[in-house]
Amino acid sequence: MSFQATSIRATRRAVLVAALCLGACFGQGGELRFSIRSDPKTFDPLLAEDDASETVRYLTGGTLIRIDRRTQKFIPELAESWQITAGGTKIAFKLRQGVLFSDGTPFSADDVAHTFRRVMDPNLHSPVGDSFRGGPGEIKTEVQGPARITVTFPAALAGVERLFDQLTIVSSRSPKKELATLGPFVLGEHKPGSYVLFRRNPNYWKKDAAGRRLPYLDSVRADIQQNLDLELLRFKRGEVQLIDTLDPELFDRLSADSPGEAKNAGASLESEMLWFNQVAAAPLPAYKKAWFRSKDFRRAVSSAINRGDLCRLAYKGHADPAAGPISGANRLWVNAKLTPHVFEPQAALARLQRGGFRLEAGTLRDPQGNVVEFSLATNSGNKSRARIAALIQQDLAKIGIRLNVVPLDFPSLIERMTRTYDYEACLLGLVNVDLDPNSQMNVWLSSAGNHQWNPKQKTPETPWEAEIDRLMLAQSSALDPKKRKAAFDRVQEIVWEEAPFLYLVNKHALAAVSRSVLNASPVALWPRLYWNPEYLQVANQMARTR
Amino acid sequence: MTTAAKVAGVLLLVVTATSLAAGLLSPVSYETQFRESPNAPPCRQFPLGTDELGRDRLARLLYGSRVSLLLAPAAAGLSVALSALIGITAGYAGGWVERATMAAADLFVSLPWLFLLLTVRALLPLNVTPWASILITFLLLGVLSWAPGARVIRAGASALKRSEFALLARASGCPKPRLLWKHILPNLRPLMAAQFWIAIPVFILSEANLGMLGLGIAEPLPSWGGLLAELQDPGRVGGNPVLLAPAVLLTVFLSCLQFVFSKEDQ
Amino acid sequence: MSETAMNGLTPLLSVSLNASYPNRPHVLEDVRFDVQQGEILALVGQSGCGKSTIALCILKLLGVKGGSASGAIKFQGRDLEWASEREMRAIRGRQIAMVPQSPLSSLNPALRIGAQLKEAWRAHAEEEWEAAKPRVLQLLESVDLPCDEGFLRRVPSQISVGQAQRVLIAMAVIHRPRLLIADEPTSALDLITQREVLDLFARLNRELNMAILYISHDLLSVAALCHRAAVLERGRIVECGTAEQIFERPAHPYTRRLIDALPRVGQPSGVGQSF
Ligand SMILES: Nc1ncnc2c1ncn2[C@@H]1O[C@H](COP(=O)(O)OP(=O)(O)O)[C@@H](O)[C@H]1O
Ligand SMILES: [Mg+2]
Repeated sequence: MSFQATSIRATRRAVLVAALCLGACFGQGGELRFSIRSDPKTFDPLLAEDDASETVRYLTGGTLIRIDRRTQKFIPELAESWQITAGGTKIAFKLRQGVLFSDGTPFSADDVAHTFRRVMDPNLHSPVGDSFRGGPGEIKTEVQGPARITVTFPAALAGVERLFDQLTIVSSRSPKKELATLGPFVLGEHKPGSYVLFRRNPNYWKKDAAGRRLPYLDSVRADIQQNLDLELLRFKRGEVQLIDTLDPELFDRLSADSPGEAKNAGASLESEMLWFNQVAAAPLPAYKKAWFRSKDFRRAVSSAINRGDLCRLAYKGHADPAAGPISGANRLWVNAKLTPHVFEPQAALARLQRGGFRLEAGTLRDPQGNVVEFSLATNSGNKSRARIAALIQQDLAKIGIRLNVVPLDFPSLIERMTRTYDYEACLLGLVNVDLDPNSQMNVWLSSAGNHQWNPKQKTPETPWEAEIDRLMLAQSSALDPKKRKAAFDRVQEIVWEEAPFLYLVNKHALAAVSRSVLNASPVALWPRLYWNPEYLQVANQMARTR
Repeated sequence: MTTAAKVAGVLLLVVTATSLAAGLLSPVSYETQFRESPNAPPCRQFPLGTDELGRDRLARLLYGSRVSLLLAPAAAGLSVALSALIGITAGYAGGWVERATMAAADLFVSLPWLFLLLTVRALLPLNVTPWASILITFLLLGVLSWAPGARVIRAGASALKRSEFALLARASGCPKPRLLWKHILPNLRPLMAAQFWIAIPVFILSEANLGMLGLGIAEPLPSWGGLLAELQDPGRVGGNPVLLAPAVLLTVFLSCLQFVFSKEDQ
Repeated sequence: MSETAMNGLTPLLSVSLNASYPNRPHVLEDVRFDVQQGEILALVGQSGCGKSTIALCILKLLGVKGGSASGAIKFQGRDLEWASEREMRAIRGRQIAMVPQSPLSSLNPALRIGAQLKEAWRAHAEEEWEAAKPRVLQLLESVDLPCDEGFLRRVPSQISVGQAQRVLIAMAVIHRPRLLIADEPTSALDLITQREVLDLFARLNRELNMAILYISHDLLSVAALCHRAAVLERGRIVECGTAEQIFERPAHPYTRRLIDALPRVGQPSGVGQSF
C-alpha cells in the first residue's frame, strides 16, 4: 500500500479532472468541518501537548521534516534536504527559499535558529524541547547563510529526524509572533467551548501538481464536541464531514446506513493489554505475588484467553489479536515474526499443573492450596473494555480461575497503578503515537516510571528485565537503523516470551469520511483523517455559491 | 380495594414470583456466553435474544429482576428506618438536637457524594464477589439516603409532638417513650410508607450509576440498572426493540407499586 | 387569698403565676387564686386572655407549647415548682387531670377509642387493663356513652364531637383525680349536650368530691355550675368572688361588660337560678 508521492499526485490530478468533467463542485474553496474533543489548551505550537492543541499545530504549523502519515517515511517540507554527520551529532539542513510566513515576512535560517533557542529555553517547559533534550549539554545552531543551518547535539540522537515533525518553525521577526505561521492554515477564530476556525494561509508555499497554490480549502472548522453519538448524528446531517475515531457499534451502524462513508483503515496503533502487578512492595499476599511474578502463570493465563473471541465479540470484528507491544500499523518497527499467544486452555492448565497448581472441583488451587482468584481492575465507562473483561472472566473460569472484574474511575485506577500499587491485575488500552522505540524508553527501562508491571526499580529485578534495559539503551545510541531494529526486535521477543504485558487486541482505525470530501483517506497514524489538510477538498454549498 | 389495585397486586406477585423462580423458568444461566450467537434476535432457544456476548437476555432479565426486586426494597427499608430514627429523634427532642440534626442533613445532601463514594470504593477490598459487591452497593444506597426522608419525618414528628392529642397524652401522665411509641409513630406510618415506595425506583436506577464508580453490579451478575444502561444508546434500541424489555418491566413494576401504594394511602 | 385565711383550710391548689411565650411576653401577670377541696372554681374571660395558659402552667406543660412560666404552684400543700418531671408525670392524670378544649383534635386519629382509654389507664394503674375494663365500661356508661366493644373499636373519625368530649371526660376521671381542669369543655357542644356535660361535672363533683377548675367564657354555664368565679382580663385576675357576688355585684368594669354582653333572658340576678 505504499505509493510514491508523485504517483499519488498524479492520481489526484486524474480524479480532479474527472470530477470537473462530471460537473461536480469539488475545487477551490469551501469549509471542512470535523469535531475535536476539547478546547485547545494552548495556541503556542511549542507548548502543544493535548490533542486539540496538536490539531491546531498540525493545521497551522510548518516543519522542516514531516513523517508522511501514509508511508511512515520522512519527507522534506521547509527543509529541501538534510544530512546527518559527525556520528549522528550534527544535522545540516538546506532550506526551501522564497517561503513566506502567513503575515508576509520571509522565512530563513534565522527563524530556525530562533525556534531552537525558544524551544530549548528551560523556562518555557516545552514538551518538544524535552524530546530533543536527550542528555546533558547544549544544542547549538549555526546559520550558514539564509538557506543553510546546522544543528549540533551534545550526543548522538538515534532517529532524530522524527523529532522535527513536532517542531513548528516560529518567526524570529514577525510582530505577530506565533500567529505568523508556515502551515496551510492560519488561526481564524476561537469561540471557547464551541469551535476553532482556521482560514487559508494565502502565503502557503506548497503548490499542487498543476501548479495551483494550496490549500484548496478556504477554511477548516473544528467543532468542540465530546459526545460521540451526537458527532455521528451531525455527520449524518452533513454538519461535519470527518470523524476520526468511531467505536465499533457506531461504525457498524454507519456502514449499514451509508456503506461508502465508513472507513476501516486496518490495524491502528491502539491496543488493549492486561498485566499483573509484580511490584515487590505491593500490599498483596505473598502467594499472589508469587503467581504474578511467575512467567508460567502469566503465560498460562495468556493462552487461556481467546483473543479471537475478544476481537469478534468485544469489537465486532474490528480488531486483530495482538502479538506484542508494536502494532502492525507501525510498519518500520514491528517484529513481524511474532504471532499472538495461541489460545490453548488445556495447554495452559497443563502448564499450571506442572508448576504444582491443581484443579479441584472446578477450582484452581496453587501448590499451597490457595484458591486462585484475582481481581482485574479497569476503568469504568468503556464498553469494549467491559466486554473484554467479561469474556476473559469466562475464559479463565474454564481453567478454574476466579476473576473479579473491578471497574474503577480513572483517577482511582491511576492512583492504584502508580502510587499505592494496590491492585492485582489491570486491563487498559495503550496508544503508541510515536513510532520510534526511543519514545518507549520510559516503558521498557526497569528504572522507568511507566514500567507499569514493576516501575522504578533501582536495579533490574530479573535477568530478562536487565536484558531489555541493555537492548533499549543499545538501540537508542546505535545509529545504524538495522542495529536499532535488531535490538528492538529482540526486546519484542523477550516481552512475548516473558509476558509482563499480555497483549490482547489491536483495534482497527475506524473513521468516517463524507462523500463530499475528496482526497481524505484514513491512516493508522495521528491525525488519522486530516494528515494532508492542504490537499483536502469539499463539495459544499459555500463552495458553490462563491 | 379497587379492581385496579387488585390487578396491580397480582401483577406484583407474578413479577416477584417469576424472578424468584428464575432458575426454574430459564434453562440457561445468566452468565453463560453463547459466543457463537451474539446479538441474536428472539428465537426459540433465546426468547428475548442474546446480548453482545451471547448471553441469554431472558435469563439476565429474570435474574436481574431478582437482584433488584429483592435488594431495592431492602435498601429502601433500611433507608426509611434510618430516616425515621434520625427524623423522629430530631423532631421529638427539639431544641439544639433538632437544629444540629437538620444542619447535618442539609450538609449530607450537599456533600460531594461522588468523591465520598470513591473513597468508599478505595477502602473496600478489590476481591469482592459480585454478590458482595451488590449487597454493599444497596447497603450504601440505604445508609446514605437517610437525609431527605429524615427531614420530612422530622417535620411530621415535630408537628405531631405539638399536636393537641400529644399534649393531652402528656397531661394524662403518659411517659415520653410511650408517647412516641403509641401516639407519634402510628401517625408517621403513612409518611414512612411514602418514603419507602419512592425510594425503591430511585435505588433501582442509582445502582446502575454507581456501576460507573466500580460499586454497582459486577460482571457477570445482571441487574435492572445494568440492563437499563444498555438503553442509553438510542441507536441500538431502534434496531432491537427487545432491549426495551427491562424498561417495560420496570414501568409495569413501578405503576403496580403506585396502585397498591395509593390504595394503602386511603 | 382572703378566703383561705377565713375558713382556715389548706387549699387544694394555690397558684401565683407569671407566663410568657417567646414572641408574646406577659401572657399571665401575677395570676393568683386558690381552689379549695371539692370546690368548683370558674375561670372566666374572653378568648385569648390566657385561660388555657393557666391550665398548662398548673400541669407544668407550658414548655410543650414553647412558653415559660414562673411563680408558685402549691398542690395539696406541696410546691410543684420543685417537682421533677417524674413526679409531675405521677401527678398528671392521676391527681390533676385535664379535659382539653378541642375534643376531636385531642384524640389520636390513629388509635381506637378503646386503646386511648387503655393508654390513659395504664399511665398510672398497675392493675391489668382486662381486669379494669368492666369498671371503665361502667364509667363510659356513666357519661352516657355506648359501652359496647363496638364503640371501643371505633377510631376518632367515627364518633361525634359530643361523644369525643365525653370520651375525654371519661379519660380524665378514670383515676378519680383530686382536681379536674376542664378547659372550655362545652365550647364544641350543642346546647343539649352542654347541659348534659354540666350535669355530669356537677355529679362528679358531688359523688367523688372532685374539685374542678372550670375554664370558660360562657357565663351562663358558670353561673349554673360554679361555687366561685375568677375573672381574667389580659392575663390578670381582675375580680374573684362567689358566683352570686360576681353576677349580682360585679365590681370590675370588665366583669360588668362581660355580664352585659350576655343574651338577656330574664333579670340578671335570676340567671343562676334558672338552671
Ligand atoms: N404557643 C404560643 N405561642 C405564642 N403565643 C401563644 C401561644 N399560645 C397562646 N398564645 C397567646 O397567648 C395568649 C393566651 O392564650 P390562651 O391561654 O390560649 O388563651 P385562652 O385560652 O384564654 O383563649 C393568646 O393571646 C395567644 O395568642
Ligand atoms: Mg383556651
